[in-house]
Amino acid sequence: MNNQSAPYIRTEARVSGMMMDMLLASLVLGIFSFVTYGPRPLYIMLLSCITAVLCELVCCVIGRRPLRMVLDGTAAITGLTIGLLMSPMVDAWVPMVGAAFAIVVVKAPFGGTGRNVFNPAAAGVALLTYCFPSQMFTYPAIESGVQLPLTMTIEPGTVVTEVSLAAQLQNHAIPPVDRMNILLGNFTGPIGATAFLILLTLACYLMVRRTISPWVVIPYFATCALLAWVFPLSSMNPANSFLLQLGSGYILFAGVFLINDPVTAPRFWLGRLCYGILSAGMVMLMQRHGNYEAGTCFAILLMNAFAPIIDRWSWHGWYALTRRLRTRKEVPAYE
Amino acid sequence: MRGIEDVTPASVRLPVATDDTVFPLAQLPPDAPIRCGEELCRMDDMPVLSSVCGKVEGTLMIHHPLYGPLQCADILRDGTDEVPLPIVTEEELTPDAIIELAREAAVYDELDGIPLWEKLSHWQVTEEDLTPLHSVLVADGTANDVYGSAPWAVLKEDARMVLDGLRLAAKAIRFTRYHIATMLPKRRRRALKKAVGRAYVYTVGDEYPVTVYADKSMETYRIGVQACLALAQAVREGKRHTHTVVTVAGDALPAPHNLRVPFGTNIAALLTACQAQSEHHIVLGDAMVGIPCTDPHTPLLPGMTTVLAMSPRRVRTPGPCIGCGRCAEACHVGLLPYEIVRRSENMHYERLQHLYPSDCDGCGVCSYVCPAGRDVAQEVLEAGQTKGTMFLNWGEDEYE
Repeated sequence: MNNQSAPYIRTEARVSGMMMDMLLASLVLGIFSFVTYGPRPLYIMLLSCITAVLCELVCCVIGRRPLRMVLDGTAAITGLTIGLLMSPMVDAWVPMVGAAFAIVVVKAPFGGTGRNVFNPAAAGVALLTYCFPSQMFTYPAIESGVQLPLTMTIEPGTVVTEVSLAAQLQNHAIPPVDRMNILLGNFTGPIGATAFLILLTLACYLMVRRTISPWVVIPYFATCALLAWVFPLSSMNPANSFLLQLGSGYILFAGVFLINDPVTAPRFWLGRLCYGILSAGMVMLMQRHGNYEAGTCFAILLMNAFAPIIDRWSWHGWYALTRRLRTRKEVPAYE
Repeated sequence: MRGIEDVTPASVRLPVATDDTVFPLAQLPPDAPIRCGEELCRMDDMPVLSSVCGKVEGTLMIHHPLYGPLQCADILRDGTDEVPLPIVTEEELTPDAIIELAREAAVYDELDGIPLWEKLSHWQVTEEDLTPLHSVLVADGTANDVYGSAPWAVLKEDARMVLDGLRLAAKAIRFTRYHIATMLPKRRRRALKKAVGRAYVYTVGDEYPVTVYADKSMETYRIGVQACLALAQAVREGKRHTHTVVTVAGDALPAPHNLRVPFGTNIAALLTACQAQSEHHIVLGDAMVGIPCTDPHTPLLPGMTTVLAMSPRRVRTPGPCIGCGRCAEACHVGLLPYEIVRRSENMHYERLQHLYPSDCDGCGVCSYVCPAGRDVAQEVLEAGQTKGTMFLNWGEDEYE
């Protein structure tokens, strides 16, 4: 006798269900990486995920928040996202530092789930990019086919390394373009960010499941594609430039995981549209002219700061326009 | 959807006074037999009619979840005598005469429980008035609910009579345009159109909540189909409005039905008629905006068309808003429920007004879609009453 308030029927959708979808998406990317590099990417993701969940648990205890809030899965997603953006041969403590920073500094002090201003995962990765760029951006060569050892750190010299696609583009080198390899994700880069077609498929899946909003994703991808096509890299045909630019760095990954974090993105459809377009512009700008080979996270953080303003202003504009049209033409019995 | 079944309860309970106004139980000696349709007393210029033939057992005070404290007369049913109204000829049916008949027959509008004559006399226009040119009188047959289907059942039973009542109501307020708004399935819609004529049926979108009952350029004046039926029966057959059709449904009932019952019937009697056995709790009104009811001996009064028996279910503890934006997507007014809730939680009352929380009509869709299980609609409604200060909402709960 306890559901004593309207409505007496509720939708079956749950926050935890949305988080399960994201979990599934990150697992698909983990398995993709497993095929290429062996079990080490999964190990890194797991460590990062466990760190994030433990930190969230501690923060909930300290903040006197109910412990069941840990179970909704948001912390696990933050951890996994950070793990997915690491290099497969990164020292295992690096993502743990990132995950701890994300939860303890960026999420918990603002009030935990639903109240953080900045995307914790983006902030964690931004911190790691700033502090440990050499750790972050040293990638194992993909052709070597070696299985990476499951150790905390990897001795330098034991693994053949390769310069990533994003770094080549940043140094104005012209990498050899094999379109098929790029589409299949068969090039050097972070654990989860190179799977070109898989990421696009995941985006479609999550949109169908209504876990991520097409109002953000589609404008974001469209603007990224347009910018890459219209402003090609020097001496490269637009199609190749399009593939290379979208494939490098975290651009596709951010479109599926980072900018769709509902907490830090606008919630009104028009705001989401503007947010998608603006963050795409910002991400492409940082990618082309930033100091790091992957500046996406900085761009996302910057856009997070503007998200509430974009949301409210877009709604005020829209409501002012349509309020007159919406007023109902029904006449009540008493006025 | 099922047809209508008649249920005659052993006793009925009818309001004869509210807590602040006492209406004398006029000319009623104790133990006096009273016939169906006979006047118990006059409340607000309108007769309260006995809905059954029987004997007044006494009066008692009840607390009605919808109407607050009421003094009620208990009538034990005995016999089937009915007091008819005089039949009026077509020439005598002037607009004012129709309204007067609606008052004497005690016709209530089941949409909101307001007496029909009050609505009609409020809307009535003079002969020179041009309002009818862009206005339409609508009989609401939409059953805008998950469970409710009483208007559908009424239309299925006697659509022509409903249309006749609607025509009379339109004549009473001097409107020339009127139609029945429905959201029936295709086959039923075709049958309805065949029965009353294509021009008098308007199909609304299959959505919740229904907000458009006529072409967008028209101003809509809305009454219920049962009120139309009651008006037609009062004018043509001299029957007073003593019975109503109510949907008794819910996931705890094995046999949901539309029942025709006298006003004042116990809800417990309705549930027994539908074989309610398992543990349940009662909701007055539809599943989206209904009001919980703890006392099964609450009488059924005008304005109630749905009674639900819902099985108890575990309620999730609401989680924090994660900002999925589904409430904003679902809101048919176009508000930002999540932002209203956030501001009112953070006590930014003075900034609430820019979000127009008072535009909310409380349809409850935002609570329905919320994946975090929050009571969004309730919070938005509360925010709509704060009027820029945190103090206005305190200490004026009228039912306490």
